[in-house]
Amino acid sequence: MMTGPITSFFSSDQDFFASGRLPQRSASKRADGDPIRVLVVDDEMRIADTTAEVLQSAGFDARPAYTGQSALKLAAEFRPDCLLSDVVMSGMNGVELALEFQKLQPKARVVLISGQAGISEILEDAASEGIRFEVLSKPILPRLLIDHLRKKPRSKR
Amino acid sequence: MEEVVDPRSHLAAIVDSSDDPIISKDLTGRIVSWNPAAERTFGYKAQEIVGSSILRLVPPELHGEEQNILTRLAKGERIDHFETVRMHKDGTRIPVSVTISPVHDVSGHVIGASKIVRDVSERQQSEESRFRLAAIVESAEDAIISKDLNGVVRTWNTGALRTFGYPAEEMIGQPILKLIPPELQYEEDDILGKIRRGERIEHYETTRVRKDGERIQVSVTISPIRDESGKIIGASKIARDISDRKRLERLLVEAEKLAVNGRMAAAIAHEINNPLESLMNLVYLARQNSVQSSKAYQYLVTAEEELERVSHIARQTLGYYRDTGAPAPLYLHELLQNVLTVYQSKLISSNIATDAHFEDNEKITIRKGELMQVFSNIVANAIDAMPKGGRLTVCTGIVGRSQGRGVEVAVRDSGVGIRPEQLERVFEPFFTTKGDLGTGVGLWVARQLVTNRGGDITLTSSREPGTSGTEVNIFLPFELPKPVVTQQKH
Repeated sequence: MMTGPITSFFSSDQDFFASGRLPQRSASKRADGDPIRVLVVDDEMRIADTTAEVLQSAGFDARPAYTGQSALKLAAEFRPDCLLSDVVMSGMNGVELALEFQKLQPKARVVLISGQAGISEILEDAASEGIRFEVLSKPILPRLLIDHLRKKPRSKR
Repeated sequence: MEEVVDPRSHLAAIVDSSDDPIISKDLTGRIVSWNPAAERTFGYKAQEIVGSSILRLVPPELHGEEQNILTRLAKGERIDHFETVRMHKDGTRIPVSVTISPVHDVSGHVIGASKIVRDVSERQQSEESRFRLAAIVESAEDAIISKDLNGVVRTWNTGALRTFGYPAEEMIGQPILKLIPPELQYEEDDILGKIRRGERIEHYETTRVRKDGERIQVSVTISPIRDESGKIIGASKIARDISDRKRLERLLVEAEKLAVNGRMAAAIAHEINNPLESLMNLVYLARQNSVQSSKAYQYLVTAEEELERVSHIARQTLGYYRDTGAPAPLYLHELLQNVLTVYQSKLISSNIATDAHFEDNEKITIRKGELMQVFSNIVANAIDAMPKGGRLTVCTGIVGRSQGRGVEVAVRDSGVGIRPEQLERVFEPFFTTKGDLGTGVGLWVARQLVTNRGGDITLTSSREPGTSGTEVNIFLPFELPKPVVTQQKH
C-alpha cells in the first residue's frame, strides 16, 4: 500500500503511548515574549474550534479557520507564526493552502495533520518541488500536539 | 467312393480367392498369371495385362529394382517381405509389401516367379499417424502419461519431465502414486475405479508433487485406454501445471479484497478519526476546566486514557500508521519494553507469563513508530494465540548474517500453533487465522515495514502438544538500506 521513498519529515515525539511528560507552559511564547500565534484550519468546525481552544488553554494565541480561502484571508491580518492545517479538506486542500501560505509568510512554520495514509502522495509531490512539511497523524492527542508545537521545528534539509 | 481331385485346382481356387494380389511372371519379367485381387489392387483386368511387362506396375524411378529382383530370382533366391511402391492403372502409387518366390519347372529349373503383394497403404497410414501422434505427444507442453490398471506408469513424455521433474527412465514401471501427495493418495483409487468402468475424468484440479518436493496445482484429464478388442487396459493422463494460473487467481482475489478494504478503511478512517479528534479535544478541555481534586477530573483523566487506546487502534488498523520521520538510533529492547508495558494489563488478565532476555547492547537506527507497530502486532498476535494463558518469551541479540551484523528479535508464544497450510499465507494481506476478530493486516504490514528497513521476518510454528507455539523472528541489519532515489523536479 504505502511504500516508496519517504520525503516528508515527522516529529518522532508523537508516541503512540503516554510518555507522562508534563506540559511546559513557558515554551508557548515567542522570543519577544508574546504568545506563539497559531492558525488552526480544519473544514470540520468542531475540530478547528476545539483545537484552537486547546492551544489557547496551553498559552498559545490560536485562531480557527474552516476553509483554505478564509485561512489565507485571516493570515494576512493575524500574521501567524504557525499554520496548523488538516490535509484533506473540500475546496483548497491543506497542501495547496500551505504552499500559498508560505508565499505570504515564508518564515512561518507549517504543520499538517492527516488522518489518511493516502495523503503521502500529495506530500511527496510537494517534496519533489523542494517543499517539506511537518506531518502529524490524526487523531493526535491534545497533550502531544501542544508538546509538538512548543518544540522548535527541526531544520529543513 | 471319393472323387479324386487334382490338387492343382485347389491351388487355383486359393489363388483366386486370396485377398492379396498373386502374380506370376517369367524370367524376362512378363506377366503370366493375374488373380482377381491383383485386378482389385492395380486396376488392370487379367486380359489387359497378362503378357505385358511387370514394369507396367513399377514406377519409372524404380525400374532398376526389378532388374535386381530378376537377377536374384535366377539364382533361385526367395525374396521375403520386401516393401516398395507399385503403381495403379490410374497412376496412383501404392505402398506394398511383396514376397517373391522362384517358380521351378519339373526338372528344377527356375522359370519364373510368383509374387504375393500386400497393399500396406492402410497399415502405413496408421503407422504414420502413430508416428505423428508420438511426435505430438513428445512435443506437447502438457504432461502426457499412460498407466496400466494397477497404476503403474507405462509411458512418460517430455512434458511430464518438465512438469514433474522426473525423467522417463525414473518413472516408467513405477507407481503413479509417486506423484500424489500422501494425503491425496485416496484419489488414485477413485480414478482407477472410474477408468475401469470406462469413465473419463475431465479437467479435474488437484495437487501433485514434483521430484524436488514442490507441490504444484494441476488440471488433469484422464481417459481409458482400450486394446483392439475394446477391453480397458489402462489410462492416459494429461496433466497441465496450473500453479501460475492459481497463483494469479489468488492474487486477483486479493487485489480485489485489497481495493475494497482499502477504500473502506480510508472511509472509516475519515469517519472515525475526525469525531475522535474533536472528542479528545473536548475531554481535554473539560478536564482543564474542572477542579483538579474533583471526581469529574479523575473521570476525565480515565476517559482520556481510553481515548488514547481507541486512537491507537484507529491509527493501526485504519490507514496504517506510517512514521515519516527520519530514522533515529535507539536500543531495540527499550522499544520492546515499551510494547510489553502497553500490553501488560492484557498479558496479566490473560494469565500469560512474560520472559524477556535482552542482549542487544548496541543502538540501531530505525523509525520508532514503524517498529513499534511491528512489535505491537506480533505481541498482540501472541496474546490472541494464548486465550487460556501461557508463556510469552521475547529475546534479542546481536548476530552476524550474510546481510551484515544486526539485531535479531525472537517473540515466542506457547499457543496452539498455526497449521502448516496456513503458515505460508500469514503474510498475505487480509489473511487471518482469527476469524472475525482479525483484520489480516498486521503481519502483512509488519513484513513490509521490516523488509523496507532491509531486514526480514520469518515465522515458525509447531502444533505438537506440549511443545506447541509460534515463534516470530525478525532480523534488522545495523546498516540502513540504500535509499530509493527520488526524481527531483526543479
